Amino acid sequence: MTATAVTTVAIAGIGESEQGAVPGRTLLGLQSDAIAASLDDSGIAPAEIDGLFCTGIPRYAALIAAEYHGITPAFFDSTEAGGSSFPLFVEHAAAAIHAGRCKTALIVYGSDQRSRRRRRLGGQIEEDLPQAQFEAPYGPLLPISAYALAANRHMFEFGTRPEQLAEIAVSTRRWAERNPSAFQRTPLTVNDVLASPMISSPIHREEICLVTDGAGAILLTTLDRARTLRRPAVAVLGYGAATSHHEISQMPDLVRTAAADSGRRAFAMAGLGPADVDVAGLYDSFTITVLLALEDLGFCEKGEGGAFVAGGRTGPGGSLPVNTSGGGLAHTHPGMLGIFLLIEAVRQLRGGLGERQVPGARIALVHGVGGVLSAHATVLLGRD
Amino acid sequence: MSGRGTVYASTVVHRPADESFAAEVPYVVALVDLEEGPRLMTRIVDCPAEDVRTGMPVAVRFLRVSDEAALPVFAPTEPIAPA
Repeated sequence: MTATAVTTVAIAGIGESEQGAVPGRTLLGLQSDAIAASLDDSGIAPAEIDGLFCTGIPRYAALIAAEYHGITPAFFDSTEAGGSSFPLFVEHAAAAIHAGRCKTALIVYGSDQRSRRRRRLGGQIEEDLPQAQFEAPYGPLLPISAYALAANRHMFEFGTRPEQLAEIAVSTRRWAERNPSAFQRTPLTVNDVLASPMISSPIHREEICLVTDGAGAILLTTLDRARTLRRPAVAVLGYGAATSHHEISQMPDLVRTAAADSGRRAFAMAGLGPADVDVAGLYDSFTITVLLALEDLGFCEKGEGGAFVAGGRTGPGGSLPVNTSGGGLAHTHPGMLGIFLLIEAVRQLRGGLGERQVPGARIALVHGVGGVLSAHATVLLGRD
Repeated sequence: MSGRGTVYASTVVHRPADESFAAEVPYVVALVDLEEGPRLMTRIVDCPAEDVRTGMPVAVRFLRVSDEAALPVFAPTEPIAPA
């Protein structure tokens, strides 16, 4: 199937700050490093940015970013949908550009959560929301225990085994070994994963994403304009979003996520199907997150994810390369991953990634998951 | 309501969510489907953590946590099959 850009929008620039442990930089300082890198990558001038999409600051995210970075956007958006926010912002930015409300959109995210030690095992719960009354008193680790419940249910319904979930962490680590900027590059085996401490069963420590500092930025504009800029344009072929719940106790079915809806919308818009995807970025907050996305996006049948990932199918040399940067499990995870999945997809489609390059990659899928399997956003990108 | 239900999913939590849970680890957080339909988060009690099974029948107990509040928790209703 030939990919056809049904929208007029493309990604023209990408940028990252230093990732990992960056104790000398604030959240906004990290953002500015990533923005500068994306401007340099694209050749776009700062004054051209007229659309701003930012989240990950508790309140007023886009306003704070606009002030700090000296941007006066005609269109701005602080939508908070957790780790799905950034593929979701691609949809919002593409719609805004398509509608003529802005011409050059900046999506930016940064976090200093590793150095600031902001994470708490019990999560951040607002005391006047239902979660504080109906979940927090029982002591779940959030989000870890929510994903653990989904993994437990998947094992119950389909017989999925711990070593199958571990295989996802192993394949991801093999990609990270090929990425010099990955935070965790030590070789990992299935036995290593299963021998690592159990945190909230069946999730072991090596199945949980990193906590890092870092920022990422993406610049979108019209495809026609992107073709005149510094780097090869990457066309936005399709997108879709969906949400089914906020709290895990309200999720209708723990082994069937709204990725089925976001993926169907994105594939329909692009006129593509799972078999057309050359490389995928699937939010890997936990191994089970990837397994569910593989099933719900249609890469395999429901319940067959465990068998699908066996034998390194998503790793280097496998038939479906997933999270080629090392993902959130091994490359970087500053609280929300989505923007880094988009950046890696653009890099794969531009080519020249050395030993982690997927040969001839033309179509990339990025899938973000926010909350506790709560919000899903899928984007399909294509080499122009 | 009957107070009876089924374990829809469960997880053994090995690290305390915060200091107030430190003396309780490991503990079992579960989603229980009540006979009447609603699903809620809860704890499974009166049962070794390793013996809790998804799909097992359970019944409510009320765990007093303060002068003003009691939490619904659940315990198995049938003899436990060893792991």
